[in-house]
Amino acid sequence: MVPFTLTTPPDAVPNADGPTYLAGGTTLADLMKLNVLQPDRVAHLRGFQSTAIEEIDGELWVGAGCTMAALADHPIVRARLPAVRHALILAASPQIRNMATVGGNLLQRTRCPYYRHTEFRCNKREPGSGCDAQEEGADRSLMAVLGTSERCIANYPGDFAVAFAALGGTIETAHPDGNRSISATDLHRLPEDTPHIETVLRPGELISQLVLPLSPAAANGWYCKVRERSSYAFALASAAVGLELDGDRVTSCHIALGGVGTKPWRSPEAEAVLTGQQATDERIEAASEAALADANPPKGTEYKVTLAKRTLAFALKRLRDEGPPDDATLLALQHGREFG
Amino acid sequence: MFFDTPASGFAPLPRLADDAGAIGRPKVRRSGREKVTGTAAYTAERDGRHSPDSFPGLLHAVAVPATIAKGRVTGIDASAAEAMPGVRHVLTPANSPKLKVPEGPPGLGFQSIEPAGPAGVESQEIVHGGQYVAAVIADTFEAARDGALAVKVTYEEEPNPVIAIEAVNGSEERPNSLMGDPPVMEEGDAETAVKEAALSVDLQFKTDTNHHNPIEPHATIAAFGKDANGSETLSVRETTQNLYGTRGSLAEAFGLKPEQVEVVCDFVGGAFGSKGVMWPQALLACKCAKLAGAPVKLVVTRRQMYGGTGHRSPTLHRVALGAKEDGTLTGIVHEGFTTSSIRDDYTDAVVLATKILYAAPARRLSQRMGRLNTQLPTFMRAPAETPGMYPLECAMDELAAAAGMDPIELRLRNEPPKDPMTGKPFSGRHFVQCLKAGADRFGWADRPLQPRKRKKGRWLIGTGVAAATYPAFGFPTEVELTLRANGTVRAVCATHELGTGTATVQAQVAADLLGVSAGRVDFDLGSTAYPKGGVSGGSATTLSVGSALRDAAEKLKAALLKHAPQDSPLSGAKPGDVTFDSGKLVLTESGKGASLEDLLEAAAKAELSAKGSYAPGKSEFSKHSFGATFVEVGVDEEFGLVRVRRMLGCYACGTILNRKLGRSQFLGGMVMGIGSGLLEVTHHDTRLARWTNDNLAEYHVPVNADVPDLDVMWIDDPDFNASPIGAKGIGEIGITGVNAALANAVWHATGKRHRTIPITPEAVMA
Ligand SMILES: Cc1cc2nc3c(=O)[nH]c(=O)nc-3n(C[C@H](O)[C@H](O)[C@H](O)COP(=O)(O)OP(=O)(O)OC[C@H]3O[C@@H](n4cnc5c(N)ncnc54)[C@H](O)[C@@H]3O)c2cc1C
Repeated sequence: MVPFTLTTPPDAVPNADGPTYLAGGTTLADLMKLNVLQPDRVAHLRGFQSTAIEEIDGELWVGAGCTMAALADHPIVRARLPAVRHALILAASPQIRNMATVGGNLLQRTRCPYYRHTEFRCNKREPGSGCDAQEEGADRSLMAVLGTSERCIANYPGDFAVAFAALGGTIETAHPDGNRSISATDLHRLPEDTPHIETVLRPGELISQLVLPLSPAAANGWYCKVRERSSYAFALASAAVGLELDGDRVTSCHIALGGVGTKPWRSPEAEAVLTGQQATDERIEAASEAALADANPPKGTEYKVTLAKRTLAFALKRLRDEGPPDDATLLALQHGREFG
Repeated sequence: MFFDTPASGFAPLPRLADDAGAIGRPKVRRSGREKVTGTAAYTAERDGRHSPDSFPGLLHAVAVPATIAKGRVTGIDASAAEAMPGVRHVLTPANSPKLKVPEGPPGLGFQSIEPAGPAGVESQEIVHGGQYVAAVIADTFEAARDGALAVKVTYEEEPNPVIAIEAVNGSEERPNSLMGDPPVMEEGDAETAVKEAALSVDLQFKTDTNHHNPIEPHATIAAFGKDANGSETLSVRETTQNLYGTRGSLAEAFGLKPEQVEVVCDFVGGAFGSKGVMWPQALLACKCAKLAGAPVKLVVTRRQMYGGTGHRSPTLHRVALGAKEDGTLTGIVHEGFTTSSIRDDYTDAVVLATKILYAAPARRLSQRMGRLNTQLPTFMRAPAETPGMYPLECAMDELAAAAGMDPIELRLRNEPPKDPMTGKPFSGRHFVQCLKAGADRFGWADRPLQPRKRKKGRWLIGTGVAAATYPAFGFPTEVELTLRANGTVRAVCATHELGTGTATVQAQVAADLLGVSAGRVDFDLGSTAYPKGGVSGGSATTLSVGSALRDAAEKLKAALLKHAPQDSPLSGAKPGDVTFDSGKLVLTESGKGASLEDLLEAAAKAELSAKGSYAPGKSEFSKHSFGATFVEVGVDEEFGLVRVRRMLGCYACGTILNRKLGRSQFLGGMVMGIGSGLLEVTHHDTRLARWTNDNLAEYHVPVNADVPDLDVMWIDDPDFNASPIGAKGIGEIGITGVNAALANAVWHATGKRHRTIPITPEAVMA
């Protein structure tokens, strides 16, 4: 960690050349201790940010300071946003979920080891320095297969943002140059030539609210997470799906993938294959193919393309056939016992 | 005293009917309450703030690790760090106090404990990533940590550092010794036997790098001082499984007599072998204390645990088995390939279990090794058996499949009547009983021989079995046993509490030896102020300390008899004639005697002590524990997932001295086997020769959700051929069969063999 000054809001925020915001700190403090992030000014948001959860006109408005645990346990989320609940309760550990805020969660950083070690070359951490992850012999176990660029192949590791993007969430921000809404799919940028610019947020722009539409498709959804450790592990691949069905015809559909993209990967391509169509096995498989059609897996990650397709196809079929799983079924799917 | 085991074994301990005595009882671990309430002070907490220790003026140090794996340091710019608030000194080769590199235990090599090479820090050659090149000493931990990040080190890199075992596989170097055995052991012509056999398998296996990841990181607090005569002293709080070893090494390094060095460690927060030898942070902390002229605390960071301390070597194997149609083995070949570091020699003796598990007229065991730019590999829970039995026991399963036989039946066919290579009788074996009793309880009988026969929902279900075994090691150990006039007892030994319950169990042993209740026995450990304990590794502590206690109890008899009053029935009796019984010393024949309190009173003594010792001598017996591990897995082939549904271990380890703590040891081994079989691998970058998942988020140890209900049972048959207290080790055997049982179960579920562990989703999907 390099020395920094700590301020406490409200005076400090938002501010155009403002400080780095500290919410739960589970990403920020971690990366500061490793010298990966070296802010000179940090503003602690606790007590300043809204933590409220409210239903307003068919939308759920969530204060960015709400913890992952609190959002997961909210009755509306339990009843009408199963994919959000699943993505939250399958993430991290209870201790982290009690600290971490949903605003901070969206902005968690990649777990790419080349980003996390300052002695390795990383264009995301140090623009123009190169990308050791793409050299011969690199450990690519945490790399993306979608949205990669010559400059960066690091994946976006989070779960909640995948459900949030799938369900058409938006964020409300505060900034001296004007507040705005940003759709979840626009928040994160592709790495392209500037992997160090991870989001469209302007310096000092504060996420104040997260807004989730409470649609029928959102109520009929789930989040399927595949990982070799049964708990407390990031996704190898995951799928957030929501379907509104008229008989077996899909009237509206939400699809996003996790663990495999350089950003939370909503797939309009897959959604287009299903929308207005019968949800047959063939259609669902075609949707999965469409979602991964542009995959460009770095050497050693090829299996993730197959895994992501299977994850998405399974998530959709199971949803079509059985609807959203309850918590017990979800955990049984993770643990491989007492199920089936 | 060296105990040569007589051909008839040691005299059984008079063991009271099951629960009448203390031995065997499921007593709760004595430090349990402190641990769950957070008051037990571990090494890093022994700084005086959380413990009665006193280190006035304590400073904090944080090491600066090398960021290259091969080359040399060309410059260290400490100016930015030195200018930071709270930073007192930056230890670099330029100002580092000189020391002599200790030799360490023979055969282990010990160069790796010196941060920067044989010539001291002056030699700035870098042979592995994470090698310490400097340290920052500051008023607070935070200042030291931030200072360490601000030290700028420049390097001249040498090309082609190596970290992947495959890169050195061509090496013809042989280990000097396999725990005392030669690196090639041969009996008959095993290769030809396999070639000409009616049935044979010839297979290649790989196990990957593991790090121990104890929850307590390595830590040292070092303080130099002066004794009453003005001679220098060194007082150290150290995370260690080896108090006397650490003391000896530190004394040698700093030119002190061992008596001038004190090493204290009440609790170890998990070690699994990683704290069996001293690692660089201990010397570094001492150097910092010297340089600063003040006590210094140095805690290894989690990231530094990958490189600052050792790991389990990756291993490669070829196992070839030949058998007759009926499954009788005709030849066994096991070639192992392991790694060591550039400077030192330790490597795992992975073929040793293949010496003793099965009968075969011809056998060839051999090992080669290669050297990697890594920290020295070191013991990790069952260092020979965990990586070595996985290939052997998978090969047995493949042979059984080739023979169309049940894998248990194949093992029963090849049960050796005595140690196949030495011809010695086994001290106690019970392997067949473990297989049979385990199979019964596990419900093995209706298992289909063919794979891919059972499915539940998405999950293919399979079961697998494998042998477990571990040698009954003992290390030289001394204890002091004291009877007090108030009827209580105190025993002391510089042994270790790794969470295993040493103090609890040894109090139970002492209680039964002296015929008092365990609650009346204090057992103190964890300091070089006490008589010498051995390294707490090799599952040897309980056996060694308990056996030394038995010796001490015999010596106490002699001391008490010497003080027996003239008019006592004990007067003139010999130690061999008397027994401790219910708080008394009595004539074995008549039961007449006197209470211990009366004897002490008559002798006008507040207390009476005797020293006892144990060291394994020559033995007529081949001394090992055995067991059988049964696993049921569910496999989701589509996602490549393997989940353990049930596991059962049945073990024969001699006397189980405490049912609760014993069970915990078996359970811990089984859980760790789930880790190495399915999850644990230290990823690396081949080109940079660096570990990449050096944190607990990405290095996956099993979590609760990965562990189903585990079933543990044992054959409770004291083995007095193995040790004077009838016990053998239990800390390691639990893991030894798990990897193979898992891989065999995955085959049974899917029909696909996995000859590399951990078994990853990618491999299952392939
Ligand atoms: C060991 C471990 C395992 C994990 N496993 C998972 C997992 O399986 N799945 C998963 O999804 N996540 C996982 N996480 C990530 C975790 O969920 C995030 O670290 C957490 O959600 C971040 O929230 P926070 O409040 O702590 O953010 P902070 O660390 O405080 O902040 C994170 C970033 O967001 C910025 N920020 C925070 N609040 C705002 C705001 N209101 N406006 C603008 N910027 C803001 C900060 O400046 C910082 O850049 C894991 C983390 C750890 C350490």
